[in-house]
Amino acid sequence: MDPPPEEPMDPPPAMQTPQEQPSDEPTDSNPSGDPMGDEEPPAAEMQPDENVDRPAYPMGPSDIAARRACALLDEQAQEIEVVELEGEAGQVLLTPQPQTAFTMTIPDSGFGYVTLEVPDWAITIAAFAYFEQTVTILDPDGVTEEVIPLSWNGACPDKGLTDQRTKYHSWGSFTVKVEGEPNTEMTLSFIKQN
Amino acid sequence: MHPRLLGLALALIVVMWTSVFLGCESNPDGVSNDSLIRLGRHLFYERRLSLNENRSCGICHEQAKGFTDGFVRAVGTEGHIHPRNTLTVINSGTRDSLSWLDPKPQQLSEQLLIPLLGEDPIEMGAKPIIESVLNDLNRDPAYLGILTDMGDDITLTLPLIAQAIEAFIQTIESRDAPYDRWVLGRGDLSASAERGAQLFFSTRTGCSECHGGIDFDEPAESRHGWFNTGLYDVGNGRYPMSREGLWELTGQTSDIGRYRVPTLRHLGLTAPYYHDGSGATLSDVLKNYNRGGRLTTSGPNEGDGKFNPYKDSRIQELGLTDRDLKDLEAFLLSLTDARDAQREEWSDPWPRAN
Repeated sequence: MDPPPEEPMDPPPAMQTPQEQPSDEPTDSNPSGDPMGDEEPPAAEMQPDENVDRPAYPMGPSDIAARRACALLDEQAQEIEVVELEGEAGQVLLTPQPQTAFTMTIPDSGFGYVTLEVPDWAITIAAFAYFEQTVTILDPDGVTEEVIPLSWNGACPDKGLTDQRTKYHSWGSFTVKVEGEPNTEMTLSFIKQN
Repeated sequence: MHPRLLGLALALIVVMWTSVFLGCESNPDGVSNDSLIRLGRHLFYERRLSLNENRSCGICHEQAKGFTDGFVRAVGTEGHIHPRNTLTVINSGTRDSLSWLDPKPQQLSEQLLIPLLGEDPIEMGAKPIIESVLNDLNRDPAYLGILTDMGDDITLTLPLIAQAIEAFIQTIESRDAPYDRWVLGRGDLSASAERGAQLFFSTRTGCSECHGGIDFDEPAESRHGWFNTGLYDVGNGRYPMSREGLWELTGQTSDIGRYRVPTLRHLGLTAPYYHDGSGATLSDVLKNYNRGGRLTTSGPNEGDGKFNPYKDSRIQELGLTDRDLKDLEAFLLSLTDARDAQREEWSDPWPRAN
């Protein structure tokens, strides 16, 4: 594993934790109130800025899950349809899959839901998405623990893929909220950390 | 007292006395029931009976969750998602049908071999390893001690495993929830739950016509029933593919969406609900019944089950108020005995690090 970064991690712009929500309030630096700013091109055209100091990636370039997620970018993803109401999330079930990424269209509202079925206890699962699309694990019973906050995938730093890791102390079904630009494609993978 | 409540009270008394006598019965093979139950309890929580040692009966039927697993749909040892939500094993000794689908009478000792050995889907996945597991368990000092207590020259075999687990599961009986105590005059119910009980047994809702009997899983016409409750209509009355109910066995369109009436006991522990776990909360379930069928507004199963042509005719709009729905929910929750989540005699006997 790479040593801890000397400088504070510079997270991707859309970082969220399960407890945080994006602020829509206008600020001096973001007068439109849009958390992503006004003129962001679609995710597929974005590349990490070469001028931004690149911190050490918490899981390093050799991490197996991170490498698998990078490899999945070149493989056929499974198309799924998200639901728009949290209560309907049980209609769409996913399990952690090293062989399959999932692709979906973000609804008009800018968010949707699926259910992640976590098959074992005391495991850590990495969620990989593009950096302007967010993945939030809803945990009303408090059985998850954030292990790695939203960071860059260190195995393919030029792809704009993010990496966030959650430890599940109990197995079960967890509602996942996905957010991004409405009517854009989102690719997501969940891979169990070895 | 409402006539149906009187009937329930009498049924509870009969079942309680019957349980006292049956508990003293010896196993026909000369092995005491107590030792068979002890063996069964250890096997119920035995993870070596699964391919990856990450499943046991007691994991998918977790005590703290009313002997269900909390998944929307069950997940097997290899990560395959089962087509259906896990049923509770509480009070399964009185059931003739043990699954959501199969209408044929089932013996528990036969049915449990399906999740243990079945391959479509793989649940515990023990089929390729069962012989080696039996060898291991027969050499395990913990089992040697139990088997020695049972008698001379007793070794673990697949039939004995099934018999023992069945014996243990049959001890998981629970009919002492707050509602039961109230019926027998031994406890109180909240005013809301009392109103809910009146609604439940009324002709206005008709709930008890399908959810009747001592375990609230018995329709008026037969011990078990299979009904389409208007959960889906993804097109032409169809349910989601590979989860179409009794139709999967009969091929008859009138059987689309028909699933066995489940017990209403322990709902406070056994969320989520419905045959596929798609009912996240009890409140959602009650709203669907009040509406006369569920509206799915988005996703792959979008559609309105209210207009499903195969829906049971008794599923109609009920016109219940918000207070009525809360009262019904309070009543349903009074059928949960929260103490069952921790009863020592049903708990995992193995020492665990996690």
